[in-house]
Amino acid sequence: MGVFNDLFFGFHIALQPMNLLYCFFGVLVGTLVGVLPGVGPAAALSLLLPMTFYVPPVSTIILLAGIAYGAMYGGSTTSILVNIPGEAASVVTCLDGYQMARKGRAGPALGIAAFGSFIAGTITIFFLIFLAPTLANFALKFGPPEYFTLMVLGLSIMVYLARGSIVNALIMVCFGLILGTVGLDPMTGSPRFVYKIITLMDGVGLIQVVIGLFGVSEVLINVETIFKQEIFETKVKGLLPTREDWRRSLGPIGRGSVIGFFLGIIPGMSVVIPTFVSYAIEKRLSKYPEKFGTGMIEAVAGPESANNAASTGTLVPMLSLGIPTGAATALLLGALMIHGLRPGPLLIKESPEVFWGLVASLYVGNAMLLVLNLPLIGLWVKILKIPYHFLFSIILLLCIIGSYITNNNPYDVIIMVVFGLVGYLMKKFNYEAAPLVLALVLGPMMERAFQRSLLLSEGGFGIFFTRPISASFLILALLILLSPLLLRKRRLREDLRAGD
Amino acid sequence: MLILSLVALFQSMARKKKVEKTAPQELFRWWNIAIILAAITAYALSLEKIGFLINTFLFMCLLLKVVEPQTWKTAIIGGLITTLAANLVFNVVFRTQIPKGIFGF
Repeated sequence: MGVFNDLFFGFHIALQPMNLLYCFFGVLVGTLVGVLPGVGPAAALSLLLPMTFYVPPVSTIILLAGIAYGAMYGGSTTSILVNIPGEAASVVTCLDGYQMARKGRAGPALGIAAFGSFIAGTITIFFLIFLAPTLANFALKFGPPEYFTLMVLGLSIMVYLARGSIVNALIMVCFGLILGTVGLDPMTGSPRFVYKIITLMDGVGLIQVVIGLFGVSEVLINVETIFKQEIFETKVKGLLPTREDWRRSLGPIGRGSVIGFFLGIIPGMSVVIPTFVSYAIEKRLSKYPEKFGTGMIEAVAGPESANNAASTGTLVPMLSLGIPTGAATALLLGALMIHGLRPGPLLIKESPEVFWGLVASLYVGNAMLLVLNLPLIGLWVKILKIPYHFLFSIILLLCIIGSYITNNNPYDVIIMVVFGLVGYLMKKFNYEAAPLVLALVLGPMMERAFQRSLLLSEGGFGIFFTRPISASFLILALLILLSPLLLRKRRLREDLRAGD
Repeated sequence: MLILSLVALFQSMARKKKVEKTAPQELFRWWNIAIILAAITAYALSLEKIGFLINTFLFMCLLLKVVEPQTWKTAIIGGLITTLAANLVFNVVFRTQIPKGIFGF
């Protein structure tokens, strides 16, 4: 009964008043971020990260995780009501959700999205409880070479799944790795790429880069043209789905949860692709595939469950292996490290309060979101009506403060400005920011693993190829990177993108 | 590893050039971007001299007035409210150490 004891322990932590408050604050901010287009969870996480320095680690992770999955709820609201996806993860919901709203069935659409997310959230927490410790135990056998090759594999998958061209994603990964080398060499302590700038001695700060790439650049894109806000008035009544709606949605919710969770574990999948996969599967399984796109409740229930499940799934590799799979988990990992915890297979054993506290807070947070979302939908729609000139000024101010108070160093703000511009250009020319962020986080970790492996082998590179686990990781990575060249067809990727 | 990544970078850049596409440039308000970047830089550099409150107020007024032009009244009131709110959140609630500057507030 060890699991239940641990879970009870987790609830004991999550239900402490302060943690409840942080959890509430997290899901509230998450929903807000989800509702507002132009502010993603990654930007919100990086803005709030510096503010958690004075908060205990458990509360920090509860707060930040709350933002990540809270955004999944918020995104669906605007997709359904105004056909504007607040997040990329809710793009699919627009297809049928908005059609349902136009037919006067906005209430059930919102209701099933919230209930589906809730059910998916609770089911996948069970998967997380059983999978993460198992994976962590397995990972205890890993030495530095295995870690290094695992991270290589992770980055390769990320590149393979990138939305744009693979070459662009590869460039971004390399750019991130190079940025990761700025600062003092971890083994010898010699400065690299520092140019006598003291701020760069510590390396390029993750927080500043992410705020620049996701926060500032988004504002720049939006002020470049005149921002149009069109809000349609939709009457929302009767949030509770009917018995018939439930009968049609239970299957999609179940399938969405399983798909979302397991795809979420894979690096680079993040929360967007599972929603497309779920939509495609529901369409294929449906008796009336031709009606998809005209307001089918299955097409709302499935993807909405999938994105929530995926946001739980992304926590698995982060908590059990200490390897992030996307921008959001990279920041969570950063938060753990700032608080002096060592992410990796030992995290669950060394700091059980963090793992079990987080797991229990996921239950609590999902329940809060359900309560928070259904009655407050009117409020969220009103927030969309805030004029953009106020919104972006406030976002910029938060960006500045967020990057300043990390180290109380004004030059950190300059780094943020630079990456704001870089991010803006990247958006203009279709380069994705997520591979860069992931590479920036993994870069120093990879380097340390690499150097330790070479110490083990006394300088021989053979160590990566002779150990079976590490060799198989490398072969997999190579296959993944070369497969588009060899196959030429890229059927899977095309399918995923078309959502069909 | 560094050399490897540099090689990969140049290789891919070379490949990229072959498939270069030109995006049609519409009329876009580049000056807004320049103003915002300059404003943030100025804010950062003067923060430790002028102080958080005055700086934030000026910054917000500038943004509201220039980027998406508002009346002076909206700009100043908006600037005042956000400054006070930011002060409340960061200095009172979170107790972060944002510099006070020469005027002592």
